[in-house]
Amino acid sequence: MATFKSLFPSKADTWLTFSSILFLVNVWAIVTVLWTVPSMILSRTIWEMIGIISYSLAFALFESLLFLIGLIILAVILPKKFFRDKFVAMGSMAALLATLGMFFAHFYGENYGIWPVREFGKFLLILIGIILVSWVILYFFNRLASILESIAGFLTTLSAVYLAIDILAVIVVLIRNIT
Amino acid sequence: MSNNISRREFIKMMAALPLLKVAADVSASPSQAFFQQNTGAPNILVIVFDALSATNVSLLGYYRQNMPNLAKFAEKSTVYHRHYAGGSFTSPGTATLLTGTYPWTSKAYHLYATVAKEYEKRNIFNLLAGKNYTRMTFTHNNLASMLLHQFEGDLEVLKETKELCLFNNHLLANGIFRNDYDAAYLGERTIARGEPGKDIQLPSSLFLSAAHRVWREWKKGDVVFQYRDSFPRGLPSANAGPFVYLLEDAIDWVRDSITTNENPFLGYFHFLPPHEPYNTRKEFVRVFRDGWAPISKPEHVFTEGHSEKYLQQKRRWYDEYILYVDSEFGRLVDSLEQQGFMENTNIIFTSDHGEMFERGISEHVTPTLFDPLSHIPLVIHYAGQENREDIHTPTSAADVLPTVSTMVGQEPPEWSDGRVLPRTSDQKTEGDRNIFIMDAKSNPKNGPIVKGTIAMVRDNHKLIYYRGYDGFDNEYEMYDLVNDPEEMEDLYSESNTLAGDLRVELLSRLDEVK
Repeated sequence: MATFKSLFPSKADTWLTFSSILFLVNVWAIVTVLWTVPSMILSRTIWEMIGIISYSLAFALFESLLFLIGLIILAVILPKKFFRDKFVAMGSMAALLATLGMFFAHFYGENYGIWPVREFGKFLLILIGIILVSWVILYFFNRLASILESIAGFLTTLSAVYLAIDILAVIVVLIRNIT
Repeated sequence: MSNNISRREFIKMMAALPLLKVAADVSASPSQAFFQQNTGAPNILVIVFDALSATNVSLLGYYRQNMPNLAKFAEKSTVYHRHYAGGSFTSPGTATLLTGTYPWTSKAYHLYATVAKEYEKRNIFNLLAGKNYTRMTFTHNNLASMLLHQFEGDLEVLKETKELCLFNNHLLANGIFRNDYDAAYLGERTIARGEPGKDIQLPSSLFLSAAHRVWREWKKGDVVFQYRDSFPRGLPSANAGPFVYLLEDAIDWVRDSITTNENPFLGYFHFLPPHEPYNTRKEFVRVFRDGWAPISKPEHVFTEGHSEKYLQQKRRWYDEYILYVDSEFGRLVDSLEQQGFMENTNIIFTSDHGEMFERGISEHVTPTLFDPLSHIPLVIHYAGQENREDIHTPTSAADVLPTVSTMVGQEPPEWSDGRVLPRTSDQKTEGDRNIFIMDAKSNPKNGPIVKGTIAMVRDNHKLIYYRGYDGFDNEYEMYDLVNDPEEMEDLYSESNTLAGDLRVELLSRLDEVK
């Protein structure tokens, strides 16, 4: 049992990494929601708008969890020394680069024609390549890894707030679907 | 004559029973069985083709002969020549039809609008509650779908759009979150959007929306490719959501649902064609390369800057798409006729709003309310009707609900803004009336109308009032629709007595809107 448990990153490391992911995913979700939903104020009640926003935020939580699960699976698969020992730094870096990549895709994907399957596949390969290079750098430069871990630490308070909001959003979605 | 049957005769009769059963099965088609069971209660079939302008319908005088099947249907129907929508796009237009009230009453005048709470039970389906009717609906239109889901409590069958699509990317709203359709649909749009187009529409989902987009573009492209021979301009699809479909599938489903239904039914079927994109079927492509052009009209203050050439081409594609609509409508009517449904079914053919290709404006997202946008077809075959009737008095989409009410033998509801439609040309209509059409998508849902366009039709004239637009506030136009159907000459002036009277009436009606 102990051996199996040791395959996973520690709870503290998992929470720190999850904080980074939550922060990035929620900032994007909140900014895009605030971009569109206020225009609905003319046509929707406050409760309806809360409902619409809740779907986005609940989905942000779902997406963050999926990303975290992906990283945990990698941590289980990859050698401890390479990935698990620097789980927070490498996980946070992956989340940051993936966010920047998707940011680019959503804003400029049209101009660069990346949406067809094959093009998007190439784009993903490049993105994964960049993430792998960043992991190699983190592997060799402990100082950089420490900086990333500190940043993840700073984000925990804010991410706890985001987590609370996301959980509230899940509750709103459930209430709206039960009643 | 003896009443006694010998044992030998009895055995002979018993041997013949299976043959009698076979004979009975052969002679009784489902529709006949239906009529035997339901004499008296008429069926009501409402067929809506989205964005079909009366000004582009050959039956109503359009130059291009684009609706021969509708003309054939009209031979045993009542044709309403001056019928008006409640609004200039789906939400207000459909809400008017379904609630029998103007959009400012039901409060359904925004994109993806739903009606005010008190109108959830004041709808065409609720009229038939407790009457043993099967109330069934289907629509390709997401905006109409929003309303139908709101009325779901009064429906026995609500066929989901995605079930009759070749490809539909919606996963949540009409799946696991259908109890909260309204918010779930808009939530899903916020999560997954990111459509091609000039405006960047950022999805709130960072990662999965990208995967979703790649998947749907691949899947949609694949389906369109499969049908490239039959639909060289692309498959019928929706601008509001990336899904593709065949009108044929929806028509087949409607036909099958009707003919296998055992109770009398009220069917509301709202098909998206000829809404843009105008992707007609192969045999109709280029049919109208006839060099014809409508009268040229000056650009309006709300012009979108489209050239005459561009508008001509759009109009031609639209007319060719209407041929496809007409062909499928004809197929449905032929099938109903063959099965004897015309005797016991009221068939209402109409649209929710029009479409325009003039004054620099294309389609229907515009604050103007010229006739191409507001004038829609209405042709009703009253059960058993054998001759054509033509009605030339102005009528409103709000009149359909009170008329349906009388079709099932009940008084029209007092809350409706509409009136029962005249059935024959010699039927007396109630005195003068004003008919209203509105576009107020930028006005707050609750409260008075402070921004929008309201048109009022009275007798021959239409007064159009623009309120609250930057640089075009408190402006009026007035047209004589009978002597100037192209709305070329604006008759409005402060000194025109009729214009003044109409203005007072319109403003006093607007003052009543809370």
